[in-house]
Amino acid sequence: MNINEIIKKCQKNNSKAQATLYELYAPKLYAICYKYSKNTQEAEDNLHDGFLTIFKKINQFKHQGSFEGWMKRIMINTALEKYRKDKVFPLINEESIEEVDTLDIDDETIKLETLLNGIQNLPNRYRLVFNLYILDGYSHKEIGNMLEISEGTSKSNLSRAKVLLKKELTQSQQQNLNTFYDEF
Amino acid sequence: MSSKNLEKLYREKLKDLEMNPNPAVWNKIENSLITQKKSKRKVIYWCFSGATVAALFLLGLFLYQPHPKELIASKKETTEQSSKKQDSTNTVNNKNTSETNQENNNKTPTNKKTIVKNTVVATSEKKQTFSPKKKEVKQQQTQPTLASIYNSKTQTKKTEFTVVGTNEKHTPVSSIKDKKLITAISKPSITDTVLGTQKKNLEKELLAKNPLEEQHDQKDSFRNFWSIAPMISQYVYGSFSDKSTVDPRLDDAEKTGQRTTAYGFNVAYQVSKKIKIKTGIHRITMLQTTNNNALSGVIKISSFQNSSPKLIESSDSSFDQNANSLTSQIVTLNDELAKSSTQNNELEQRFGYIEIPMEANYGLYQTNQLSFYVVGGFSTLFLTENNLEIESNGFSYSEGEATNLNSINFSLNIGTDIEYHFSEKWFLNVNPTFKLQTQTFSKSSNTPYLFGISSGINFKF
Repeated sequence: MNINEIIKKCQKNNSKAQATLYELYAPKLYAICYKYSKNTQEAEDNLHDGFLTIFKKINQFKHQGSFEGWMKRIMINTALEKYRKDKVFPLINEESIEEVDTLDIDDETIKLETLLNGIQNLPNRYRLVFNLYILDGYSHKEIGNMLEISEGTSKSNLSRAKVLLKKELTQSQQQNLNTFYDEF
Repeated sequence: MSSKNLEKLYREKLKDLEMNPNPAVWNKIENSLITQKKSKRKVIYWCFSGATVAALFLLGLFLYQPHPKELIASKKETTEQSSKKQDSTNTVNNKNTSETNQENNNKTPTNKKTIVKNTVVATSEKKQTFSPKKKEVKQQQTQPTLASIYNSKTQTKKTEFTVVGTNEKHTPVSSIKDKKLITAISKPSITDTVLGTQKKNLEKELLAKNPLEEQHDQKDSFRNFWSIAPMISQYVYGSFSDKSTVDPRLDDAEKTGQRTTAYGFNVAYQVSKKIKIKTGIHRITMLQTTNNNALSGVIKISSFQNSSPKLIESSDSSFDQNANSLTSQIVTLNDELAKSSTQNNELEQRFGYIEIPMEANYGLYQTNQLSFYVVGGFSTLFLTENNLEIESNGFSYSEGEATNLNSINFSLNIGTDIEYHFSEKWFLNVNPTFKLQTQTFSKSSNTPYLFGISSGINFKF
């Protein structure tokens, strides 16, 4: 069964096709949910809500363009929706932002888990901006519109996110080294 | 340890990341899908059961309409009832008579008088009888009277005549005293007079009964009928509240209810001359525009509190390109709006329903050609269309859909219905209506209404 057949069957509310679609795309979409959420529970909730939206709106998909892209957008939207009404974002002093261009870190040894934890531990809006800009390629202007913030705020949020991430990763790296030395 | 750009590191490691979710998530999704299907079924079941009840009600009314034969029977029953009323007086008198009879058992009646009386009674029966049934009742009622006549003596004869007199209503005989009565009865000429008087009275009675008959005839001339009509309606959307249904920030903005056209057809059943029951199916749309210069300040993609974006498919195959084209559209929109902030921007909210009304008409004024009804009822509305659109200087963009619209809405309908019957089979109706919506929005106390006028050419069958 190719993807178009699965879509058509899903449009007819076929349970088997829905299960197949989930099996095929859940890993990719769950990764998106995980990156945009603050913890596993929230990621699972978003995956649940996102898939329900996909099945509900699958009739609106006209087989033009990438189906995967369409589903990804739904997942991102689901995640953003959670925070859209959350108007309480931490305010930061833009002057205090330091640029983080380089990071002294061993990219070979760094664990994926550390990278993910780093994102999840970021304050909500920093996490969203970081994901939208770095991982999903949205511009600051677009992010500003999506999150109802100004372009400048988006930029400063990203910088702040990077500073926090750098701290987190460096700390994690240090801990790893300490553990390594302790073993000797 | 190599120095690495943080952004690059994350992009490389996390861009195409795949993670296996907890299997419990799928079970939860599956359950939610089943619940959704069930609730959908419930709605369909509810809709169908509602329609079935309505259909059965109409069918019941149709089937329980008295058959022409039954109508005659009921007419007779009415006559019987009226005669029974008279007879009840008789029965009382009869009782008195029989009591008197028992007291005067030994005394013998005068044959002559009895014969005359019999004749009188018999004649009166003949004249009074309008239907065979009535005759039967009459006979049953009069038989004991006759029997008592045979056994009665002179004193009871007065009572007997009183009985007959009561039967005939105001028969002068009732006032005749015993002796006079005996003499009178023994003389054939006077008997004739008595009979003559009775005849006149009976004629009067017949005349008096004629209007009743006419009424029956009129009722007979009314025939229950069905009518079916394609309808076209014009509605104007309005609301009792100034509050915005889209976003509280637009509460102060100027809102205008727009005129929309609805289509559908009506089926009606004329239950009685004055009462008509109507149902049907209509496709209706409600449209409201919010005009505000400040709108552009509020508009951002899916930034309205009660809206969610509609996903737009792009022909590009890559997700990122898709995303960019989608958002660039949004950016263009916002730029456009920002530029035109001093000009007039419009947010157009459109929502459409399939409407199933259930209404009753009560006739206030009716002639052969013209009927004027008051209409009351309710409608069930199933949401089919939900759209938010922003228009600015000819540039329009679908903002998405409202998230606070209930999928089922009810309306209370009141109005009038004017019918012009231009032939036996066809009539035109014009129906101004006010429809108060009750369950339109889930998160807003906004109570919208529709005011409009419907019209159609009806076919009777």
